[in-house]
Amino acid sequence: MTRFLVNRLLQMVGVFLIISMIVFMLLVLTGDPIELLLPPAADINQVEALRTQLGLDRPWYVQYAKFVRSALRGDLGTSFYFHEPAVRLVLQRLPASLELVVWTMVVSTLLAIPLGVLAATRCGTWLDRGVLVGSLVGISAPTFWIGIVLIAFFVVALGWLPSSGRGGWEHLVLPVATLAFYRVALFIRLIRAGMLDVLGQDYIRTARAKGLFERLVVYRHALKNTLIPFVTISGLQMGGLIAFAIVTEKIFAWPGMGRLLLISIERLDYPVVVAYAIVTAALFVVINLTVDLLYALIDPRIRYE
Amino acid sequence: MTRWAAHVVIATAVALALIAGLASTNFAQGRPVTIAITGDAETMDPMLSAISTTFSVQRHIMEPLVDNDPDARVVPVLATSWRALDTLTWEFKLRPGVRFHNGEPFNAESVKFSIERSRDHARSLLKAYVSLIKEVRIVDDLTVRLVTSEPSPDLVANLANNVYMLPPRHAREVGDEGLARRPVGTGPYRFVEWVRDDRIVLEANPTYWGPKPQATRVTIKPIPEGATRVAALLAGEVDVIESVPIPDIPRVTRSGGYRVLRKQGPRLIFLAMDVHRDRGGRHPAGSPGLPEGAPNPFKDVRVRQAIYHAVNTKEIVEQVMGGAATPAEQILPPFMFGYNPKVRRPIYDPSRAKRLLAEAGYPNGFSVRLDVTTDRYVNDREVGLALVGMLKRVGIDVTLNGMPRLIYFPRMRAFDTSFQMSGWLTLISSSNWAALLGCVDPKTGYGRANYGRYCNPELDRLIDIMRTEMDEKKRLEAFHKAAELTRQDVGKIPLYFEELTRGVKAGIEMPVRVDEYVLAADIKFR
Amino acid sequence: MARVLTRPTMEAVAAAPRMTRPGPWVWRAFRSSPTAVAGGVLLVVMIVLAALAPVIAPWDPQAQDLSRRLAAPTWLRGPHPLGTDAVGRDLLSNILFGLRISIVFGVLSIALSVVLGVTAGVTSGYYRGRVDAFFMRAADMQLSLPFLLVALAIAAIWGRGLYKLIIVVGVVGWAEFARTVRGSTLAIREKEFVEAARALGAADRRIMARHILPNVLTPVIVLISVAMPRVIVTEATLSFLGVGMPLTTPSLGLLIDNGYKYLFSGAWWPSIMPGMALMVLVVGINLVGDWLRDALDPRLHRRI
Repeated sequence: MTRFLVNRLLQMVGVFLIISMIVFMLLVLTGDPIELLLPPAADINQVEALRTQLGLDRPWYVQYAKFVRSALRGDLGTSFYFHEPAVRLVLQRLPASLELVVWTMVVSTLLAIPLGVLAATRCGTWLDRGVLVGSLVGISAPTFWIGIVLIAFFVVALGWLPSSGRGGWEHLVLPVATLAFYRVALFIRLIRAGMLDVLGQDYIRTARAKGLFERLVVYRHALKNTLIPFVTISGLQMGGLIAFAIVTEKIFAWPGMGRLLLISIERLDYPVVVAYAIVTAALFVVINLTVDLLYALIDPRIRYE
Repeated sequence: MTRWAAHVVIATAVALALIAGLASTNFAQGRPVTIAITGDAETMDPMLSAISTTFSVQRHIMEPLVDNDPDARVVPVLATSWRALDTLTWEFKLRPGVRFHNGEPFNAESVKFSIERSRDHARSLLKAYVSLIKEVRIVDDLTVRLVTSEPSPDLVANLANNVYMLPPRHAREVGDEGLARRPVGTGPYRFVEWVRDDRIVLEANPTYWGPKPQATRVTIKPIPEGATRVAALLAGEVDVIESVPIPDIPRVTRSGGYRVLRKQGPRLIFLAMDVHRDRGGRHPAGSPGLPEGAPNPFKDVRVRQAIYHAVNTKEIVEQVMGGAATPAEQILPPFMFGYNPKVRRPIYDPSRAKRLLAEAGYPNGFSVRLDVTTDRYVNDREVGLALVGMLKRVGIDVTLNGMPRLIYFPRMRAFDTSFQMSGWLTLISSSNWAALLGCVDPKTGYGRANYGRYCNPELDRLIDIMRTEMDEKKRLEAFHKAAELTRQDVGKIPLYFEELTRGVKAGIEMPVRVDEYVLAADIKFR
Repeated sequence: MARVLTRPTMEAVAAAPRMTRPGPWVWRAFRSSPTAVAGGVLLVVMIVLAALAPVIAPWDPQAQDLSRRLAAPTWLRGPHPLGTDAVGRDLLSNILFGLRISIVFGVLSIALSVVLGVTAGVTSGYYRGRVDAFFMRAADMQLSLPFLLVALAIAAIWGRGLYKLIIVVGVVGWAEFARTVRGSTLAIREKEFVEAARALGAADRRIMARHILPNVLTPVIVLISVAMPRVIVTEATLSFLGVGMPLTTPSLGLLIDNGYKYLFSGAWWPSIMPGMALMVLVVGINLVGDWLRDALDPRLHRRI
């Protein structure tokens, strides 16, 4: 087990090196931020001077080598715009993102499990179809639509909730709802499908016929069968939401990581985007490690050496 | 003392107290106010950012020597008067009795420190405004002389661009890190709190030298999404919003209790054509928006004139921009120095455009790619589409190439374009001319936004005059001549000036400023 | 409990490896499920409409008329049944052409993600060890790479277009499928029927294709049916940033996004109409997807 964990940590360092290189390359190939950084009154010589000063006139691998050298000294770069250490900017926004994501996952799971179980046990009935079709709204409507319609209704028309910003629970309701729509639909489907895989088997059907107690046992087992894909996808969703809830955070002016990423990519703030990718990679490595450990808990036959 | 005398004294005292009380309730109309702007400030250090939302936030706390008023006229702030002693020396008299929020006095030393920091700080983004200042000479506590390396009639206009005054002793104590987080200035508001991406809180400065602002406590909230800003206003969460999306304007005004304040802004949207390369082909040797090997039609002034006639700016402004723009007669708006009232844009006349094209040898038009941004200017996509439709009517077959600004601008800077639509904005007239139409040349520094590489030596001579002539009359003449020359030679095709919009609660009066700032000190409650 | 659950080993060996081929029972199952029929009809109608767009569209989708901008829907009468957009282009025609692009885009990019992701997922779950570490760390990197940046960089280097976008979106999507499939594979490979097959001397490739793949498809189908609409909608975000479809090539995403800012101005149709078309398409895909999942289930169909 220790070896497994140590291995993972070593792999993580490799992940950091490669991801930062890829991001660097992509950034440099996309363009440079000088035009957005300098005031319009600056003349063409000042444009060139700043490019040289920030090292943006060098090829990407030269810029990357410079980045690695200072990263080894613990310096991951300073934002072109904020003039603050890039990692600090990213981590500053982590609590706000976590708050949003934890609530989204809690709400989606609490809604999806009963609905998914219900749909699976009443498979083929109108209840089942109702749940499936009803949850489609969350899948097919773009996030910005859902967000803006929720605002129009609950903020402007009813005046029940604040439009934006971070604060008490009332600030959480709309962004969490916006994010949960899609996750509820996804989780319901996963749970229903996973349970049906088990419920269709003959021995289970026998058990079901026997009585209430057996039926409970069977449902427990069936639900357990859904857990592996459910845990995998929950992990992916969680990481994705922490790092990339860009549209929702923009619409609700939520001070989280996604908004920083959007503005940093839009303005090509190289150091912030690179630091962001590294923090996100660490996040995914940790989440996926947790998921892998959960597999072993769910199914003892899965073992890592 | 007799009894009645005592009564009189007491009565008078009570009356005086009452009057004082009344007076204080009368004048202390202070109220908190919440303002929603489009983005958060990046830093509180005024020299390390050049983005107008950041300046707008900082301007509450810090002040420049001179400033633009809401209509772009230069007005005194921390300087009370100024004059040119000779072509290279300007003398500024400073406002007496002004103190920074930390108690430090504002004086000649702070001016010297602040200007030198803007010029010399390694990462300063304000160098463009102060690079000509060779020396800041302290004459006495309240007099400074600025010595420039060459005659600079725009010196005062440049200083009006956010060269804010800092307290030198404090700045040295707290260093760059401190300045970036806890700003100290002379302004009408003191800094209270800043929660990144969420809010900036300010309170009125009780010892402010100027008129006391009516809004006593200010919360500035960055809300990037236009529709959300409107919702926050209509739900009563905020009192003022920056930039109301055009389609939402009727919704705000209709709902009663809210108003949309509008004003012509200085941002020019224009078309530019590659007049440098002879033939179409692969960039950089060929002009990339034209078919391989085809002659470049834009080299012929008649083709440029034809496009000018073919574009129905009035329709673009009224239809696509929903009225929230003003057709541009020339590259400067009427309220800026150097506007030539005699120069008008040509009339919309597609048949004359066709005639001109035929004269130039293109009776059946030609094909070209039009490069536009998709996320930079108001309705840039739609305007691009409308241009395609209009040019099609005179036979020019336009392929629309929309790009996000971060791809667009580096391409333009590399001249990877044949035909493009962009915007430009500064409040310094000569700098607009130099950037848009000066020949691209490191010797002069001109041509920062001259992506079509238009080059006319006669015009360059006029721009030199604009930038160095200290005689106001001769200078104005150069501006007027340049406008006429460009109108004939069509170096750029000015389209329109974007409008600035603010949404406010009904009881609030405030000017819309052409520098795009939203300042709580401007707010008057009715 | 685990004992009880793994009891029907022989049954499982018999049933699991058989990837059920659509036979007469499939058709029966299809007809017996009213939602599947409805979904199938919807999907067929949308595909036919999309295929016939050049024939049935009443207008050239790019023909503008600024004087008729944001004209309200006239439904069955009048020149613009679903209204016009902000530069006066006919919405119905644009939606028909947009359907074409969005269907092609959704299907091909998801197909690419599924092929890449399922292959990588089954391989790493089955072999584990270094293979697993390689693919899964690659997945970690893919997942933490901002998609926006990838799309922008590709647009900056290669320019834009439908097929470039399909490749970008398709390649980026592999990680989600890979991780999901790999998780299920880890569990399946320990089941008795896999061990039995291995004991009988089956080659690894055969075990993966015949024994493991059919048993990990359930979450894949679920993912496909929710990822397809998301991918089509993602294209709207990309269009917004100017790295999606070219401005004069209508896709549903671009149309929804173009109309979005007029949503509350009274002119709701430029965004809602293509949104509705997308929703109908998604409902169709999902209803058929749900049925497909049930139909492919080697055990369930016996019950229907």
